Amino acid sequence: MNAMILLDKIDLPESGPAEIQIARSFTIGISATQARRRVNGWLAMKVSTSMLGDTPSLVVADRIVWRVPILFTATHVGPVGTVGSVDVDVESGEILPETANIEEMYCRAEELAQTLPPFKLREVPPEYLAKDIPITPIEPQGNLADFIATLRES
Amino acid sequence: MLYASWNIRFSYDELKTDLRIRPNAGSPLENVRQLSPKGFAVYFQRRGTFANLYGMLERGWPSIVSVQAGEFPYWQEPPTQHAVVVVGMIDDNILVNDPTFADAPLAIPYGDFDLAWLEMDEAFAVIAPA
Repeated sequence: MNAMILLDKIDLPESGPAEIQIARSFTIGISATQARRRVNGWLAMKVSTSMLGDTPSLVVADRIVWRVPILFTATHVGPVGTVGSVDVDVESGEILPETANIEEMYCRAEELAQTLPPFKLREVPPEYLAKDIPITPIEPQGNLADFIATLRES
Repeated sequence: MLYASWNIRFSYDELKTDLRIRPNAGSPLENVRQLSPKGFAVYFQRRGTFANLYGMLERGWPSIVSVQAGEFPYWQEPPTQHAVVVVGMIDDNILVNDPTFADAPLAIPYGDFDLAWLEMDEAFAVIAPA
């Protein structure tokens, strides 16, 4: 696995010779891909359905984390720009929400949105349209809250 | 889309306020909980399964699903977070209403849908009249 590694909180001279020796042992409890997916779920649930995690970098500091860049995306153009990042503990897989400035992400997304072309509804290629599908008319049955309780029990 | 399917009249501006939608920046799925005081039952979770979606459909409740749309065979743009409504499952396909397109529903092979949903940690939400 290739990963970009960033070193944080390393004491360096202002100029002149420098030497860095690193020996840190840790367990990769969550892969970069898993970290990105976990962040995507967090974004969808808690931040916005218009943001997406990008390829993480490994950050070696007091804590070793995956730093997941967060992109603002638009359905008619794709990724528009980076709006922030959030860290994920590399061993536990825990998302560290305090490392994300959510309000700043919203503000940055709003700025980027000003650069977008207008949204237009698109035509889907006909081969992907579901045609001649028998519709099963179903009226909502039961109570969603009761059904959820059964899901939680199982 | 869901309101329309239940013939519920609504004001878009009111809905934007209820769901606390940030202009141009969207809102999170959890904000559906703001609809509870309006007489809706709401549910949301990550790590959803096809069985969850099917169970909801069996009872007449479509699900709002978060997906990485770049995995859909008809998607022509780069990876994008997107939300679609699952309205059916038949043969080897999941049927979705996609607000990016004028026509619906679209048929997506299970494998492609699974990849798109997996990228978003299988997050989904359901709202239904209480």
